[in-house]
Amino acid sequence: MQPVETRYLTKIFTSGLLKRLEVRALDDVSITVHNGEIFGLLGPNGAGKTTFVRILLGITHKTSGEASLFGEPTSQYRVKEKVGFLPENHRYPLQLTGEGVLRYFGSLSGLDRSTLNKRIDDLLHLVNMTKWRKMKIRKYSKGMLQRIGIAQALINDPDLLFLDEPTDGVDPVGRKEIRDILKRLRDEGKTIFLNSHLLSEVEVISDRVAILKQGKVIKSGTIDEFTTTADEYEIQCEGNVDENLIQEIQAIDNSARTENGIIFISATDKEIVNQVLDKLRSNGIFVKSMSQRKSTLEDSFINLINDTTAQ
Amino acid sequence: MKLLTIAWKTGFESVKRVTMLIFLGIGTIIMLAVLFGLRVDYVDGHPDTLILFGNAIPINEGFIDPSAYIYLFTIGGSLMGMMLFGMIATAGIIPSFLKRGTIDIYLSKPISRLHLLFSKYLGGVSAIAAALLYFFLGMFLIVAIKTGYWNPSVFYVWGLGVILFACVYAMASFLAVISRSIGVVLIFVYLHLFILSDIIDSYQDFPIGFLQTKSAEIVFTVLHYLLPQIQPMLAQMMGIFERQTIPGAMFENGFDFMPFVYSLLSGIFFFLLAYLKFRQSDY
Repeated sequence: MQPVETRYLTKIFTSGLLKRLEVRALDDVSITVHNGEIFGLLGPNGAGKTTFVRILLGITHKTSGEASLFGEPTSQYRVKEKVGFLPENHRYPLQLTGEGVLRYFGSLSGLDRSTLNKRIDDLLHLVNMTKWRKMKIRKYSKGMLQRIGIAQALINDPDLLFLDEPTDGVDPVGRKEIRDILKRLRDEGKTIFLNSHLLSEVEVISDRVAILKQGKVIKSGTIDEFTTTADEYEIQCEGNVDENLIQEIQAIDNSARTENGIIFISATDKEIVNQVLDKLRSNGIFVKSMSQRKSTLEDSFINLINDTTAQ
Repeated sequence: MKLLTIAWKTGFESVKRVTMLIFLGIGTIIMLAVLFGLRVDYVDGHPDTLILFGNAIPINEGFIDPSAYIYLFTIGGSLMGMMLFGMIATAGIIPSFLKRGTIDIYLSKPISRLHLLFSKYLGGVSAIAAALLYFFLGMFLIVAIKTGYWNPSVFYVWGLGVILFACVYAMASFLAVISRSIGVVLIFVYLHLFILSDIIDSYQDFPIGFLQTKSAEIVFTVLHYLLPQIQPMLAQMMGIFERQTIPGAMFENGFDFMPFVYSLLSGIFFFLLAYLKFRQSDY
């Protein structure tokens, strides 16, 4: 039983007087999230990421296809005992304190008083909010609300955690703390489903990602599958490499180019790389470093989105 | 347990709203006015006359219970006002609950949609029940201590007032689920309270041709049974006090439960409609 499994999940929103206007928010989406992994769902605005999560949590109804959490259909509300959720732009009753929010929503998750007391203490400590536990949340900053939101999502010690833009409004230090919390939870065996626009963050913490565009999954795989690229090498040399030498290198590899004093060569044959290095050394150039260039998740994301747009 | 937690928190939130505080404040002012404006004159050691705000009410001249007279003019006179304030104080409960960012959190918890909606509804009704109890209990104690008449009919009227509100609030809940707007809820509920309920009960008295037709009769008969019967319920509640002040003059047939029965059925009907809409809605 996988924590999250969907098969051909489709959602069509209708609007207008006779419900004749249709928007296909999700189109045959099949995604499986495995136990103990951090899964990132990416996509441009309106791609269907939030709709996907909402269907899994029974907030929105699917039009067709299958969706299950831990092997149970998402329509079974009891399966949510194992689930935590931090929605985007969450709103809690403003007259509650931070502790009050956790107590209230913890009791709705079915926790008894003693368990709840312990969880509240632990979680406030985890998200660094112990000091402000008695403060009304109407006085909280965006970052503080986000931290309480994360604690709320964790209140029932869920096996599966859905986070929609978890670092929204949080400062860089807070983001790092949240990333560390998520990694720690993964190490404890929790499964984390992450919706985020911040690709660099997703890249740092996710094990696998899927990219949604216009309701369709256009690619899914591990982070390595997204970030390993063609055989492009960057060679950093000490001092300037003159134009004549560049031309000699281009004679070895015609794709060679320089950018800010760094030589880039794209070679599938490793021998060509050696020949370029030999040419540099024989001309008295000291090679400070050489590395295989990897594209970032953001590069892959933009390429994929642009490619499918062009198609 | 979860249901009660939500109902309690919802009721508590509503009681702390400004509208509800005004409601409780007005109730307190009425109680204080009665406390200081009510006097009993004794003749030969027996109560002879009640003086309420300077008006003398002779005891033992046909009154079954003189305290009912005081209740009639204080509680009875403010029943409609309490309904109005109560509706303003609670109309926002369901629309705010359905807002994005709030409903997501509730629906992500292991609670059925029926329990969620019912607990919010119960929270609204409980808040009004508590506010009414504060006023009714306060009036009961003030009148009883000052006059010596311990009249429990105040509590029957309290119970009926809660039923009346529960029926109207079920209709308001349905409007809230379909519109998600406080404005729409208040407009339609007030339309019913002030205009429609009067028209339904006395449409034949209006000199308009259409209202005298068979079609109008069918329409208004359907509306009469479909919507909470506010005016008949209020009349029965006032009647409880009136019967104790002028016996036999009005309501000779005694208390009529039927407006409450029909209104309860109407309330159940509207709540079920609200639930069916809530169950199938996407948020």
